[in-house]
This record gives sequence, structure tokens and C-alpha cells, in this order.
Amino acid sequence: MLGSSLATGGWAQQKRSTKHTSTAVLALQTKKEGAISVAFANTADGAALTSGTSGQRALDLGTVSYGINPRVPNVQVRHLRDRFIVVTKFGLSIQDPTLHFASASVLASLALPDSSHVLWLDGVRLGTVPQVVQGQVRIGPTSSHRLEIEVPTSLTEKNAQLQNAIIFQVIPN
Amino acid sequence: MRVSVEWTAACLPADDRQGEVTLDMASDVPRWIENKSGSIVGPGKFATYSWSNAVNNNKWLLVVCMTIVFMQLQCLAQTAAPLPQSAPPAVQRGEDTSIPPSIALSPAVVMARGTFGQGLTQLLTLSNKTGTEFAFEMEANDVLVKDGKRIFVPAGETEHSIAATAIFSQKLVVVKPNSSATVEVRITIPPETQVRAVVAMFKGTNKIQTAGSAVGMTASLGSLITFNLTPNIKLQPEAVRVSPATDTANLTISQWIANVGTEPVLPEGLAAVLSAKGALVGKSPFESKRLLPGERLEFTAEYSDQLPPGEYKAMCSFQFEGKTLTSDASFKVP
Repeated sequence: MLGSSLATGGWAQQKRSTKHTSTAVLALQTKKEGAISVAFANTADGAALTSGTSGQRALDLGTVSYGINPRVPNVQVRHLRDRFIVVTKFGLSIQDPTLHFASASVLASLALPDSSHVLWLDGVRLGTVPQVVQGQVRIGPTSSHRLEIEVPTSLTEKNAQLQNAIIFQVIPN
Repeated sequence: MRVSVEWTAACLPADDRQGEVTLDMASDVPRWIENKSGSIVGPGKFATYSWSNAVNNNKWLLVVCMTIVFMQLQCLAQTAAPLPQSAPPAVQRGEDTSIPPSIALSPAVVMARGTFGQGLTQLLTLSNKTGTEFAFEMEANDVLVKDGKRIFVPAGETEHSIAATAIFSQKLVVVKPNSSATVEVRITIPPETQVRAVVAMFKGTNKIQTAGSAVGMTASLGSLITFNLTPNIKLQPEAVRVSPATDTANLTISQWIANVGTEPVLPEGLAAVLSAKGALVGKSPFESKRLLPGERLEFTAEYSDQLPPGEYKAMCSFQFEGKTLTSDASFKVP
């Protein structure tokens, strides 16, 4: 096993100490930077974030139907002929205390396939495969994101309930 | 240690008169961490830095400029006159309720340099600063650029995928509330590949229980790992553009730059404002942005000082990998 330790201008040659039976692999020089954190945040024009029973963050939209206007503040409903669309906003706070990065990519996907509802985030239709919803989200200020949920009028009260979640992926640029 | 500060400032415009910031009191002088709401002197990141610098340079500036209500007076007292070490801190990191619960990943970026066939071993630490246990699945994606934008491709779906070589010490990770977990990832560069970046992702797998009227949300974090493998480094700048200052925005100097080489580049840029006679009037840094091969991004610098009427030249200079890229544009302030 080959190993060396060099340090030049912040680049450190890594030591390899693991055992291999195949040909030795030389280590790349690496330089590490920063830390990144993410949190959901309430926005002035968005629905309230709640902790939920499991401590997870959830966006409370209240009960909404075609004929009843939303009772939760900052939740709007647009009526179309065969469906209605529930619209609200929420905040995403991405921080880099080390001030190394200016922006991050935000991807989103659904936790489960949903054949009943159609969810749009910042104009991107969500599926179970993560997609970039915003490629250059500024780090520091809380970014506002628009969630739209299409509900067909053909759904009954029972199966219209949304039993799904949005999984966000945040990657520094 | 962190302290939250609610502030009001009668001297500022109505929209910017009040807000809340979080300061890191651990260092010798308070360090700005985040602005919870409101802004200090105006929109944009430059304003944020102005606030940060003001706090760094002189904490008393806060007192002079603003009427401040300190929510944690004990923390302030400890900074002004350090307490004996045995005294318990008023606020423990991670217990400050003013900071929203979050998860954090370190390092966020790893820049590797070498050649094909080499490898790296990297430790990644995820900190769970919430009261909930989080479960993650480790996953690697190749990062490619398509039509000028980044896309994230699952391991193995790209020819000569680097992500496909990633081996994690744990496939599943559970991070308990207010604790952290470290995972080792090993990556080997194939003998031939055009991929120059991967993401090592802590992908959230928590089952999210929500009522029928709520949408559950969970977050995953990824570390970006870039690879510089050849000397083919080339940036292509476009014309410098200057947008004049307005009542609500600073003067901005911007330039689109495309990475037409095969390697990732992290240019460090500076915009200088010169008078008609060539004298330096002022300068401002560009936001640092990473350019993957094929990527094209706009770099913007804000200049906050007011320029008297006259003719000027904006000179943009970017340094990367021992090279310098310089371009300029003339503009007039009426």
C-alpha cells in the first residue's frame, strides 16, 4: 500500500490505510470547505408550518374543498371546471456559517407515487424522481417557495386526502 | 454560544426599522450568523455584509445606531466581561429556540485534484439539530451539465460514472436528536471519464406522518465533490454590464462567464471602478461561484458607494488556477 502525507496551499494528500487485495489506488489531493444546513421556515405569506405528531415539519393547509373556501390563512384556492388548485407558500432556510458558498441547488420529489393529486413546486411538477426546482437558491436569506396541489373534483372526500410528503435535497453549488 | 437580538432603528426607513438577528458570541467579538427578518441598510447581500462587518468591527456600533432589546442579557454580559469558566453558559448551542431546527452537513464541498485511476476517502458528518430522530440512506449521484444547467444523475446511469464507484461505510444512517453521525465514502476515478463532480447524499427516509390536511416535508443534504483531473482549464467571458444605482438598489457590475474547459473552476473575482483618468475609485468582490465544465453563470458585484456624476470604467478581474481573466466596460453616471 502506498501512502504519503503532503500539504501544499491547503491541499492535503490523504493517507490510505485500508487493506486492499487489488492494485493500490493513489489518493487524490483534497481540500474541504464549509458546512451547509437546511431548515423549513414560516413565511409571512405562507401557510403555517407545524411539527406534527412525529416531530416532522408539515405544511398545514386545513380542510379545503371545491365548494368551501380555505379557513387557514395564506392558503388560496383556484377553481377550474374539473379540478381545484390549492396554493400556498413556505420558506426554506439554507445557511453556510462559514460563508463559503453563495448558492445551492434545491431538488424535490414526492415520498410516494400519487395518482390522485398533482403537486407543483415552483412550477415544477413533482414525481418520485428528484428534480431540480431551483438551481441557484441564495444561501443566507430564507427563500420562498410556491406549492400548488391539483385536486380533481372526481375524488371523494375519503380518497382526496393527501397522504404524501415532499423530500427536499439541498446541495451546495 | 448564540444570542438572539431584536432590534429597532428609528433612523432607518420604515420597512427596515425592525428585525431579529442571531449573533455568535463564542469568538472575541460577536459574529453575525443570520438575519431572521428585516434588513439593515437595504436589499441584497452587500447590505448583509455591511451589517456583518459592522458587528465584527465594533459591537458598540449596534448600541449607537439602534435601540436594542437583548433577549439573553447574560450572554452579552459574558462577552463584555468574561465570566469564570465554571459559570454555566446561559444558552447552549443547539438549545437556542430562536434558531429553527435544522440538519447540517460538513464538509459541504470537497475539491479533489489528481488524475484518472486515483481515489479518495472522505468523512462526512451530518448533525441533527432537531428534536427528531432522522434516518438517511447514503446515495451517490453524478453531477453533469446539460444545456448549461446542472443535472444530478443516479450512479451508473452515466458512461464512466464516478458515482458508481462510491462505497459508503454505512448504507443506512440514523442520527438521534441533537447529535451527529459520520460516514466514510470512498471514490475511485475510472481510467477514463468526462464526469467531474459527484454528490454524496444523505437522503432522508423518515416516514412522515401527517394529517390529511397537511403536506409533510423532510430535507436531505449532499456534499459536492469535484475533481480536477487534467490541465484543460478555460473560461470564456462575455461583455461586462453595468446597471446604475437606483433609489432601492446599488450599482451592479455583472459578467457572464462560461466554463469551456473540461475541469471545474472556482474563480475569485473583483470589480474595480476607475475614474476617467484611470484612478481607482472603489472596488467590490464578485460572489464566488463554481463553474463545472459546460456551465455558464452570471457573476455580479454590488457597489454601494454613491458615485458623483462623470465617466467611469468598470474593470472585472477573475483569478483561477494561476490565471487571470480581465475585461472592462465604460459607463457614465448622469
